[in-house]
Amino acid sequence: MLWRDWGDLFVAYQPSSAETHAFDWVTRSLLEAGKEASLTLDEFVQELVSDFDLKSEQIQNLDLTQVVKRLDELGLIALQQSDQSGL
Amino acid sequence: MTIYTTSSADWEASLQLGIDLKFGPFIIRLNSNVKPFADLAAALYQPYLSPQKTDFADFHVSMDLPLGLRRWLRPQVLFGLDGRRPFAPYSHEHALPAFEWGVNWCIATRAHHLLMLHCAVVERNGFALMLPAWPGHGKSTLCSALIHNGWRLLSDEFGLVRPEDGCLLPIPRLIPLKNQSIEVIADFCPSARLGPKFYETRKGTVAHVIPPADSIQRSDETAKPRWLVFPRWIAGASLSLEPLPKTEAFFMVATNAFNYEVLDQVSFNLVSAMVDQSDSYTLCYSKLDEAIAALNELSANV
Repeated sequence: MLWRDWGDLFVAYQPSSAETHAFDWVTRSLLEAGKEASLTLDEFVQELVSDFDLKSEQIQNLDLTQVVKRLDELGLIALQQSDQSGL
Repeated sequence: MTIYTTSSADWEASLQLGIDLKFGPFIIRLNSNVKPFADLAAALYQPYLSPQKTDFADFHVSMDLPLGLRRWLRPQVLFGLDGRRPFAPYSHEHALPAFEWGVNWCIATRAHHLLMLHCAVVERNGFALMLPAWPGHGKSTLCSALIHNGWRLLSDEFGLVRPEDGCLLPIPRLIPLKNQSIEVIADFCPSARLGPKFYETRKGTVAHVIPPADSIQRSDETAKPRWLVFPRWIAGASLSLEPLPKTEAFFMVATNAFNYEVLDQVSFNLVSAMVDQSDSYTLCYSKLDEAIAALNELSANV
């Protein structure tokens, strides 16, 4: 992935599909985290809480399940079949 | 050496053999057996005659009368590219706009060695002001006004970006004005040279602004991207020139490019670099003098 950061949204070029996407910081963090290691959605939420000094309630307001599904559709992450919350 | 033919009779004869027109980086080899078209070509394309005929032309274009009755009865004209006829016939009277639209089509569908943005581009002090816009937003009208008020025309239709360095290549062709815009420019720019009006074309009434000679003569001088301004003419609107977030500017440029998807990663890098180098704005206006003053102020601050 090629990234550009202009301080509002992140713009990313995906070579495998030749598509260009706009992502917010949560999605960017999710992609970065998933690149490092396989993790569950709960683990990712914990990372966000600690890395960005957030409260769990703030994360709960985000529809991360939908974000993960969409990233899987785009081929940017691979969801595990046995546990749809795994990245 | 520059070879100029001067009379429409010369042009008629030359067009039957084929002439080379230099439109920015492209050579168009044009053949035609349509006398009224030759008369207009003599009046409007003289400055574009290529200095000499070369072995290579980017596009081999013909404007011909059809065979059969339509050669004589309510005559039509056919646009041809490399011996093919990609479009339905046009009315004989609309041969010139048909040629201009056809050349647009040739460039948009074939010039994929360049990133092609749908925008007007004007230049001042080596820096390019790009005006990407959707149809009806007043791009050509604003561009015509700017080039008669201190800016050099690079293009009214194509922002041609060279992949090697991201510079914008000039292609200072005729600027088609439609409907009310014709009178607007005739009134606002008394020095503007306009071609004849073509009535009841597929886009309404059309007339072409002939670019200033200086713009055509300098059609090898590139410019660096500096401003991205997305104009929109709205009747009665107060002037507003608002900064645009770069991410938004990126997607507005990418989505109105002719071939962003074709060039893949090259496009991404070029548009990113352009957005990095440029200040981006949206411009809403109803009065040309106010819009020009605002854009002049931008360029004065460099």
